[in-house]
Amino acid sequence: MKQPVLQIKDLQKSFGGVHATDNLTLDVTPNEIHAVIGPNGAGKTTMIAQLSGALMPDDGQIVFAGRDITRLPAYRRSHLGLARSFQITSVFLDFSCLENVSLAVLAHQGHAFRFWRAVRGDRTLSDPAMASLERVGLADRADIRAANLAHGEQRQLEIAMALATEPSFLLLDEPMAGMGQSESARMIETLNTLKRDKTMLLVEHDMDAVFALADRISVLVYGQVIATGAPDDIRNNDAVRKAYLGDEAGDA
Amino acid sequence: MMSTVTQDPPANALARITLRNGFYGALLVVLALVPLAAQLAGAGNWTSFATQILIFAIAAVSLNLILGYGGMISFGHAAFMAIGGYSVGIASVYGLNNGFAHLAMAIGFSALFALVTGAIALRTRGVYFIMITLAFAQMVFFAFVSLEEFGGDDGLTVNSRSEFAGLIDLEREPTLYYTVFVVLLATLYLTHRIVNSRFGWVIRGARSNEARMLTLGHPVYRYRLTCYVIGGIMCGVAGFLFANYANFVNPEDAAWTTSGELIFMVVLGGMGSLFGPVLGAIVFFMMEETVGSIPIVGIYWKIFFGPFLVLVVLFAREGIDGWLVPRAVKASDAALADAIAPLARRLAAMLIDVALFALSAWLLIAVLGGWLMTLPRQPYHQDLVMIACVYVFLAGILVNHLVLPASKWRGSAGKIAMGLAVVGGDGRTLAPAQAVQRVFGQVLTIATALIGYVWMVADREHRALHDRLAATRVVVRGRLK
Ligand SMILES: Nc1ncnc2c1ncn2[C@@H]1O[C@H](COP(=O)(O)OP(=O)(O)O)[C@@H](O)[C@H]1O
Ligand SMILES: [Mg+2]
Repeated sequence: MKQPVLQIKDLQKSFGGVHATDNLTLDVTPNEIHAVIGPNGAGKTTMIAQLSGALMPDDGQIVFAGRDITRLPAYRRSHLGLARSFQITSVFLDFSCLENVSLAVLAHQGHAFRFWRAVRGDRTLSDPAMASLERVGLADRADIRAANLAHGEQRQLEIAMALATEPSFLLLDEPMAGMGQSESARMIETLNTLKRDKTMLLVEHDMDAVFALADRISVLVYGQVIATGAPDDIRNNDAVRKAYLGDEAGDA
Repeated sequence: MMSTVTQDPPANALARITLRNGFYGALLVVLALVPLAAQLAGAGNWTSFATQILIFAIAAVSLNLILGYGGMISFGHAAFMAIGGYSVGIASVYGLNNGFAHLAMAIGFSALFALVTGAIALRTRGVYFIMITLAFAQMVFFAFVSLEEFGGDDGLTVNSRSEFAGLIDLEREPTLYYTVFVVLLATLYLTHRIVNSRFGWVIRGARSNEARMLTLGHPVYRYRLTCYVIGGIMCGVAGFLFANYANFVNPEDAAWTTSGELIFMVVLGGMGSLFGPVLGAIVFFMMEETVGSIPIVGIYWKIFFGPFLVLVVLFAREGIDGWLVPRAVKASDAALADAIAPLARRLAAMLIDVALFALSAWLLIAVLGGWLMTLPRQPYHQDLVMIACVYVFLAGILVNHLVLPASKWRGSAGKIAMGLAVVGGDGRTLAPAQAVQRVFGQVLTIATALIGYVWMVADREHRALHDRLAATRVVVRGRLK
C-alpha cells in the first residue's frame, strides 16, 4: 500500500453543542479518488473546510505530503498544492469567467505586489486561465460575467478555478450539486481525465458519479467515518446501508 | 441543460465607455480652465472655491481606493487629512517652510499611521472595522486638541505656505490651483494603474469574495494593509495641500464629520469608479454652496444631504457615475423617434423658463424689495419678508421643474408654451421618482458647468445629460401618438 498523501487524525470540531467533526480519521493515497459520502449534516463540508484552512480544528492533526498543516493559514495550503471547490458556488460574481480564473492563476504565480502593469492583456495570466476554462468546457464563455452564467456553468467555473492553481490534490465539495444529467456526465469525464496526475477527495451526493469515479469510499455519519473501502465493499456493507444508503443503494 | 443567459453585446459596452469618458474628458477641460474663466469673469473666489473642491476630490479618490475598490469601510479617513495638514502647520511653527520637507513628513507620518492603525483595524471585519477606524481618527482629533502649544482646539495658523526652492510659488492662487489640479490628475492616474494591476485585482477580488481569495492562495491581509497605506498617503498629501490652501489647520480636519463627508462624496459619485469621487466632491460642494446659502434651512443643509444620498443610493447604486451608463434602448423607444423636439424649439422653451425666472426674481427683489424700503425701518420684519420671498422663488422652481413635468401638463412652463412635453422612454408621463431623478440630473448638468447640455446637440434624440440619466425624452406634443 502506498504511503498516504493526506492523513487526517482524530480531527475534532464542534459548533456550540454540535460535534460536526468527531474523532475523524481518514487517509488518502496518491492518485486515488477518495469519495466521502454521508447524509446531510454529517459534517462533510466542515471536514473540507478544515482541510482547506477556512476553519481551524479544535483538536487533531492534518498531515499533507509529510507536513503537519493543521494550523497553516488557508493561503499557504494552496501553495502546497491543495485546492478546494465549494459546495455553494463561491466565485467572483462581478468578474468575467476569464478574470475569475485569472485570479486563481495569479495566486499560483507567487506574490501580486505589482502595481503598474495592467492585468488585462497579460498573456502570462490569460493563457493558463484560458487553458483551465478549456479543460472544463467553458472557453466560449470566457468574457461572460460569472453572475450571468447558468448554474451548471458556475459549477464548472468552480472547478476551473481550482485547477488553475495547478494543485496536486483537489478537495471537491459536491461538484455535481444542482447539475443536469449531461453536465454531470461531462464533469465525471473531466474528473476522470484529471485522475492521471491528481489526487482527489470527492464529497458527492450523486451516487452514479461516486461509483463511477471512486477508488475508495468513506462513509461519514455524525462527523465520524463509519466505514472505508472499495465501492463494492461499501455497497454491500450492512452498517452503511442502514445508516445512509438505504433505498438509494438499490438504484446504484 | 440549455443556457438562457444573454451575452453582453460588446458594441453596447463600447458605447457606454465613450459616453462616460467623454463626460469626464470634458469635465477635466472645464477644470483646467477655471482660473482663466475666473479671471475673465473677474471672480477670483471661483479659483479658491475650485481649489478646495479638488483637494477634497483627491481625498475622496484616495478613500475610494480603500472603500470602493478594497471594500474596507473606513470611517476614519479624515485622520490622514489632519496628519498631512499638521505636518505643514507644526513644521512652520518651528520656522521650517521647506515644501519638500513638509511633503516628506506628510507622506511619512500618514504612511506610519496607516501602517500601525491598519495593521490592527484590518484584523477585524464589518462594523468592527468601521468603529475601530473611527476610534483611531478620534484619537488623532483629541491628540491635536490637547496640543496646546500648537493651537489646541482653536487650530493653528500656517503663516507661510510651503516653499519649493522657488520652483513653485504656492502663494499665487492660480499656481496653487494648478498644483492641486496636477496632483489630482496624478492621483487619478496612479489609482487607474493600481486598480488594473495585479495588486489591484487582488484587492478587488478580496472585496468581491475574501474567502475564495484565501482559498486560492492570496494572503489578503497584507494586500489590504498595503492598499490602506497607499490610500492613507494619498490623503495625507491632500491634507498637505489643504493646509496650504486654508493657511490653517484644525483638529476638526480629523473629526468624524469630515470622514463622513468623504464617504458621502465617494458614495455619491460612485464607489469603485475612477472619476466618481471627483464628481461626488464637486456636487457635494456645489450643494453646500447653493443649498447652504438658502436662508434658515441653509444652516441645516446637511439634513437635506442625507435624504439626497438615500435617493442616490436608491435610484443609482453606483452613484452618479452609474447614471452615466445609458440604459439599454428599448424597442418602444423607437416609436418616439418621429416626435423628438427640434433643438431650436427646446432652446426657445429654455429661454422662456429662464426669462420667467428672471422676471419673477426681478419682481421679488426690485418691486417687493422696493416696496419694503418704503416701509418704516424694521430690519427684522424686512428680513423675514425677504426670506419668505426666497422660499416663494424656490417653490416656483420646484413647481416648474418637478411638479409640472410629472403632472398632466408634462413639462415646465416654457415647454408647455412651446408645445413640448417631457416623457419617459415608453412615451408615458413621468413617474414622480423619474421627475425627481431628472431634477437631480439637471443639478448635475448645471453643476458641471453645463457640460451636460453638450450632448443635446450630439445626441440623435437630443437628450441632455439629465434626459439620459432619467431616461426621458423631450417631444413635440402634437406628434405624440
Ligand atoms: N458555521 C457553523 N456554525 C454552526 N454550526 C455549523 C456551522 N457549519 C456547520 N454546522 C453544523 O455542523 C453540522 C455539519 O454540517 P456540514 O459540514 O455542512 O454537513 P454536510 O456538508 O455533511 O451536509 C451540521 O449540523 C451543521 O448545522
Ligand atoms: Mg455540505
